[in-house]
Amino acid sequence: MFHSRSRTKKAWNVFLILFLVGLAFSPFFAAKSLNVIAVPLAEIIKVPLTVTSSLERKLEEGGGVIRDLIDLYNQNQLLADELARMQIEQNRLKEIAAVAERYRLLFDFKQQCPYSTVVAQVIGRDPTNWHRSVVIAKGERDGVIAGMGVITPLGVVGRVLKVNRTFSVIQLILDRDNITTAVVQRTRDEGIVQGSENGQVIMKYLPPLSVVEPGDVVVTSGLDGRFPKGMVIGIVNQVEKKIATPFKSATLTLHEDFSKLEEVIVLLSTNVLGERGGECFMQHKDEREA
Amino acid sequence: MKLFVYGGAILLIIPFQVVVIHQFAIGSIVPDSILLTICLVGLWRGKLEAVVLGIGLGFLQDLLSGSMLWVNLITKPLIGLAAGVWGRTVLSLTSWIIPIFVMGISFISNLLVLVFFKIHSPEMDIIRAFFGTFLPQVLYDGVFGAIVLLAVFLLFPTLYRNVRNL
Repeated sequence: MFHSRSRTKKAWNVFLILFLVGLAFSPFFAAKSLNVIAVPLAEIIKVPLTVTSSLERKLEEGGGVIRDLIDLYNQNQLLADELARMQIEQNRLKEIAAVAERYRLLFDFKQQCPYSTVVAQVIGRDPTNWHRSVVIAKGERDGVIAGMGVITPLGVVGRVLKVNRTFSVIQLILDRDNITTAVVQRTRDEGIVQGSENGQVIMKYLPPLSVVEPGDVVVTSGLDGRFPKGMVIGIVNQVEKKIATPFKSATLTLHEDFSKLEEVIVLLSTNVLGERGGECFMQHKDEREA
Repeated sequence: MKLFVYGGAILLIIPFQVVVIHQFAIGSIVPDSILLTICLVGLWRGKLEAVVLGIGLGFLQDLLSGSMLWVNLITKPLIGLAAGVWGRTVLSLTSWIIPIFVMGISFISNLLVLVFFKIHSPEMDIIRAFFGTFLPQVLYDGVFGAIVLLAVFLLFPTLYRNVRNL
């Protein structure tokens, strides 16, 4: 009983194997029957394939965009660094150009100025608020002596107050202790120019009948021996006559902002040098800028 | 060692006052960092060291200023003394009292300077000098001093404890 069942099973197995082998070796029949299954299967499988493929493409494209963005970011960083470097360089060159321009003006002035002079760099300002002075990097060893006049190409700056071996202290004409003899260029009225506590420069002791008016230029009179005659001090801003005094006084606007002084010229002598003649030609800053 | 520290401080503070401090100018008024240094030393190290430092700093300040009088040589050691005595024994230096303390010290210093200048040049306009220089200087010293001292005390808390004897 048991043997007959086993034999039947084996027979079926052999039949199935033979059937499948036969199917495999019969291309016409196999292709036809497989097509029946394969076409719809292929249609079904096509959907995820297409989706996957397009996703992959999109990811690749997206990856490319990200890579491009990273490249752009890196390039941007490099360019920003380069720009910063160029700006620093530009500022440096601007500063050099400004210094060169200032030195050119000083050189031109020195060339046409008929007096013995020395150019000095301003290295510091008064450490207190009670005085108006600057420290320059020229001293005794450069021939600077206390009392000498100090100017710029635009006009009078002050006088040498203290001298050390390598540096000097210059008392500005803004200082209340500084007194300079002066004359109004147009009317030839004489007076003295003195600083004040609030930083104003005042021309005092003008004759009561003086016709000085705002806009008149005030120059050195040359009487104090510190400055030659005709150096610009400032321009009259306001004229007043106080009841308590018989004299008129005038408030002056100076030729430049002394808080920005960088170089000055010390007049070593007020005697005219050799063959040179005439006076130092000083322009008002508006004329120079124009 | 102390000599080198104070020497270094002098070499730093004088160029700072002559060259750098003008960047902080309001109008033409600049704070007195020398006064502040002496105050700090007076509070921290006592009157003797503040007086000695005041002599050195005052001398150099006068050397570089446009004054023919040696006023700072006199006033700076005096404010060192005042800071040393007043700050360490009288006051409890809380944050709100610091500006008043520095203003007080600056007031004494500038009052002495004003008196010296008035004696030296009687024609000096005292009202203009008071409102043009004295008052702005005292106020600016107070504000600037308070900021600097508070910053120093925040950076170095041990210094603050030392100053307050805690």
